Amino acid sequence: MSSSLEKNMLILRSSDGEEFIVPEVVAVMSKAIKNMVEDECASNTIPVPNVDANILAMVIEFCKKHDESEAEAASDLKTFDSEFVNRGQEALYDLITAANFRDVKELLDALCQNVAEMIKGKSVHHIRIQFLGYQLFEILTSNFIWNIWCDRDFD
Amino acid sequence: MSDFIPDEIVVEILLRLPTKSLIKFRTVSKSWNSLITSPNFINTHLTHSLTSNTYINSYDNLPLMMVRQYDSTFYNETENCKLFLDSEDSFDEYKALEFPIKSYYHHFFWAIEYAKGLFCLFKKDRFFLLNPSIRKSMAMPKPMINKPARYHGFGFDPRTNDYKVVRIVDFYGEPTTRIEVYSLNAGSWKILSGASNSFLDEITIAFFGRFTSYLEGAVHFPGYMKISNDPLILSFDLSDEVFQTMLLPDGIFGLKTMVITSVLGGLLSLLCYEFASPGYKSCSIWIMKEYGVVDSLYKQLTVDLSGRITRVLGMRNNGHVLLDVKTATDWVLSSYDPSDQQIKNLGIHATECPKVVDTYEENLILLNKPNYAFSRWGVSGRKRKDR
Repeated sequence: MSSSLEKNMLILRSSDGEEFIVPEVVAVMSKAIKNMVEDECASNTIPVPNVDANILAMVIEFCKKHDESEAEAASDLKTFDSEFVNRGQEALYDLITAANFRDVKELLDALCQNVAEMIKGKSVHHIRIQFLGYQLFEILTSNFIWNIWCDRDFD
Repeated sequence: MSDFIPDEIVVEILLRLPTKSLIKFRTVSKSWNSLITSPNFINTHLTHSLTSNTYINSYDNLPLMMVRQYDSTFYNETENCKLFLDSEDSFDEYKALEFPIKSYYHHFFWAIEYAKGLFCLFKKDRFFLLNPSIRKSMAMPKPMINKPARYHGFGFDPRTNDYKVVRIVDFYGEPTTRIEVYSLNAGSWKILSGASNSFLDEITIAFFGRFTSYLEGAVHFPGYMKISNDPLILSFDLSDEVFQTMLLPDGIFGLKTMVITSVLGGLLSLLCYEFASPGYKSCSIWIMKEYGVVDSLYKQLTVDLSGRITRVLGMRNNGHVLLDVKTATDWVLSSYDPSDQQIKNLGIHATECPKVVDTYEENLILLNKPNYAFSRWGVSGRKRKDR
């Protein structure tokens, strides 16, 4: 397989065993992969644990777009970013984990911006459930007065 | 996003939030509270809000102007801090911000400057910092030079993310000028050594405008050489803490002109008032197109004032000039249209003239500082403990 591979292509293998052939310039947008390539500890196939095929495909799509469009107008890229990260919560969480673990700065920036815009108008209860994994039961039984105080309008 | 997000990502997300949400989210948990109020986070948030082009503030980056004014009647004195929406054809009130400092009995604070989201106010020898976007205020220690300063400057030092106040104290009759600088990070005043500032004794600072102007990490004062009467702009670099002069070509302003340095539309500018009894004849607005390049100074426009007592406060996004016009009983904010030279009353009244008009900016500076407790009797009454 490696013989048919062009010189500047890399194979990424997701956690569930699917393989993706990507140009090296795209793959090294991930700092973690870049370090592996530079240290020459990468064989033909680079395993990407913790990231399944579905998410890896998304990350590769994002990196490809950013690699191609360096000369393009920044506003175009911005609209692409905001559309790209506009997904369901599960996918968003998986993408954040993948981007953080693989150290893809551009993707992480776009994702964090998206989450920030999602949560900026939310109530404190909502944030607790989303970020700290509080359950409704805990919130109702913990300090009731404190919660009322927390949720007053700060305008 | 259900279970948990790693801490470093939480920090990255919170950095992108406007101050209003962050103030609210302090109550999410103890660890979020200590994260948001930590000096490190406050500093990083400030840097991010200043440098990132994706930062969205609490009011969705609307073109908002901040107007600070003081109203006093026999029964009631109020400091007002309001946001106005500066659109093409209107200047409407958007929101009133709470002003946590009150000065009683007709002794309003002088505002030195509004720079990068912070007000610096003083009254006699008490100095205060105020961040209206998070309603925080802080008292500074008393200055070390126990003399009223003639000139004050306040601004932001971009190199160290610090806010600094400079006092220039002239001793009447004596030839020495003394300089004192307060730094928010250090939390104390510091007297600058005299040697580097000796040339200040050859300069008269034109003392007409209370407001200096902050731009590009420096504060600016108009002035003259004492012997030759050559006009110049004196600037104090807040990072290096040194004075510099920009000699101006002759004929921009003479000795009888009242000159004020200002910042209009993000550019350093000079407001030159020509006097004619009983008010002013006109005000020429000179703008320095390229900062520090004297040759790029050009006359933008001349506001025809013909006898009215008026002050130029700022410039709107559509090029109209904001004026403070004296009426029989109070001062009213007005808008001057350069194309047809009409002065339009905006209906914003105040009983005292020192207004500050500037673009709204927000950050979390002062959030980790204790709030100063103000007594009913104002600030210069009995001694009290600073927490």
